[in-house]
Amino acid sequence: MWMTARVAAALIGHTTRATRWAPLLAATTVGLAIVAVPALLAGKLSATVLVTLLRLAAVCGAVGVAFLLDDPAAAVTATVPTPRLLRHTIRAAIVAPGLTSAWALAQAFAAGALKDHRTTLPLTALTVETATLCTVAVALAAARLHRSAGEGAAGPFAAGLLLLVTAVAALLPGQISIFPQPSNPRWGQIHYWWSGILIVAIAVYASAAVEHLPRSPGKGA
Amino acid sequence: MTYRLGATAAPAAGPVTSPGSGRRRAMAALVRMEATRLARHPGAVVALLLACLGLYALTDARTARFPILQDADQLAQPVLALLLGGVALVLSNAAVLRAHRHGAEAALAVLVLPDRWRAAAHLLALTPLALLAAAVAAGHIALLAALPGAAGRPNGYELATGPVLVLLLGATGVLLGHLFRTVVAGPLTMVAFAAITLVSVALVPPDAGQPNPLVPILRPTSGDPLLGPAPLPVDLMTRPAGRHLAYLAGLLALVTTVALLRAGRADPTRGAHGRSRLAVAFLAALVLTVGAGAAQAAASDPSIVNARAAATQRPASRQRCRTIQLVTYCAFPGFEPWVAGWNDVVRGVLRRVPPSVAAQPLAVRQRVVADATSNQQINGVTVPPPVDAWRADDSAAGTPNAITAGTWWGDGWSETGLAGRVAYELITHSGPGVTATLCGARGVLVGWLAGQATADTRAGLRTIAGGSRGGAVAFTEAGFGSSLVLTDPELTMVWALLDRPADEVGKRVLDSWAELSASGTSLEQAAKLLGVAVPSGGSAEGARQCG
Repeated sequence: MWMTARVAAALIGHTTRATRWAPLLAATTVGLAIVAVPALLAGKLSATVLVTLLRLAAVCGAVGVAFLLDDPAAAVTATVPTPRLLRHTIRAAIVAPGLTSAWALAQAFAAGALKDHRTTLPLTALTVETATLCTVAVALAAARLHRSAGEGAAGPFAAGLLLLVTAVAALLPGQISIFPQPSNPRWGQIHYWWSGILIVAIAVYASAAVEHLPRSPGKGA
Repeated sequence: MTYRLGATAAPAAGPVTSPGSGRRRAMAALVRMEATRLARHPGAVVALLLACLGLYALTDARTARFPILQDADQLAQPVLALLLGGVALVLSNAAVLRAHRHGAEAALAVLVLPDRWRAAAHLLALTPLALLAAAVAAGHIALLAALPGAAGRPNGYELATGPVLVLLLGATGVLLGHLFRTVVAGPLTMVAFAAITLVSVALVPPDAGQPNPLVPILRPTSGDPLLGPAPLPVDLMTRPAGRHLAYLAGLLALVTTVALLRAGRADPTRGAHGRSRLAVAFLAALVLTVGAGAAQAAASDPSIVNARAAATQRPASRQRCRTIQLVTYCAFPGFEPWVAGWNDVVRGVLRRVPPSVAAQPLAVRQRVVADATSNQQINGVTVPPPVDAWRADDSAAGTPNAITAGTWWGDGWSETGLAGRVAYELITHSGPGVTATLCGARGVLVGWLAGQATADTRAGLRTIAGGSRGGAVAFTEAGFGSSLVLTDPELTMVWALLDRPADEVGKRVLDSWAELSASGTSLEQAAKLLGVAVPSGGSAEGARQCG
């Protein structure tokens, strides 16, 4: 355990340098713009519109996160003794503060543009949705890397699949919708489901991030 | 994955007669390969299936039975844009960047095909996806048009909008691939596109009259039967579908020319001539986009404004009538298939009234409120219908006191409303546009006659009671604000009567028609005549203005 912590500390600097920041920066910028531009230009907005804008910003963030694990050197780093789960988790930990700040900023823009001051935006539940979307994105990327050993480019696949799944979820009819409006009486229940999806996504990520070891020709049948 | 490289490589490798023909053949081969890759991509296949499924889900129960084709032709646009358009954008972007992602750009640079031709091939490869989108839109409207209850006619421009949006988004993907050398641009642009569309639709008040020229999707004309604007006959519609399609085509041409110009920029030795031609095309596309975009916001043709006013005030002048067994039905052009449905409901009421009452001439006339003031119908502000003009128009047309049928049908709510109005008209001969509270024996009679008319009105009565505050039932005229309201305790008695065999209740109704239909008969007397218990709470006629 102590060794792991020391290795992790040693890896932080190098991982920061090796991480591709451009997709994340682009995604955060677009996501913030989606909330900030209408909030600043259109004046006061209803909670329904703001919740939708925050969700779209969350999808943008998740698209950026889908590219997080991309690594042109994946074929080389597959041979290092540090487990891939640790390497991937360090990457996730490095970008997490930045993403969290961006999300807090988006929330601040949205809260400032709320039309009716008697109501509040359900920010905790939306944060659960956002965390789930980002975790699903990183889990999809990890699963893709697991399947395509050595290529190190999971972003396009993970981002595309994430968008497709989100589009389907957004098109679900009222009774089984997982993107409810705050007035929906099943709001709380649906967010238990979101927490469930979050746990499943974490489990998928943890199992997929374990190194894919090709069976050596000498061993086994 | 393996592709038939032999077939695609041969034209470029073989002896060529001129550089131009060699390039054309190489480009055709590239188009074939990219188009196949795009259309066979698992994402595209899944998106196509989801688009069909989404369209099925969007086609509500009313549209699935009595579609209004001039409104239903718009349903496919958002689904096609979001799913197939999204897939076209992301996949064409990834296809343009394929060589870059795999570090093979230098290898491709030595091939016979210059970058601009390569970009053109990527743009042309979008065609199969657009054709699939067109097939989905056409198949959907063809299925609806084949229904016996289909009214109106679809607009070709509306049907073409979905496929053109797919092409536009796909071309945007190609352009992004030449602007930014990263695959993240595609998905992010798609989310931004969804955000712009949603925000523009959410911020523009519904039926504001002025469509937002920047939104790629026009707000659908049909809405909720209670809140939204009612559907209109084709010749009264002011939706700028053609101008909007021209605007989208202009945008497509703009994106295409910019993508081609951008793709060929690294090729200074060749294509100066091509660049100038592209620049001309760019200017033409810009003029088309700006012109068509501005034209969308232009005021409606005065002839349509006049036609709308005429259809609102004097509907008889624009309608054709048909008489079925003493009942005259007048519908706007295109809505004739609904007469059979109206007749079923009217017959359902007439069979329970005395022959002398049923033998009186009766008329059902379709009405719309489509003149300039109708835009205020939304946001709770209801414009009073021009009832006096309607009565004068009915008298002139020889169908006095015609009952109103709206431009909605098949939702349960419309059927029940018509049945209640027919029953009320048979008893009171009060004509259209009446607002009243139904109470006493008369209220029970109207409620029961309406509820038992057909299976749809029976279900509709329950739906209306379940959906309203306090469980009241309003027999409204489609979207005009006037309504006959039926509340407790009369409604409780109606439910009790509907639970009993209709023939038994019908016999009692025929025996005591005069008393039950008289305005002074109380609820207690009605209960005795019909053989049911008086609902608890008693009658409160003193406190209500009864009609």
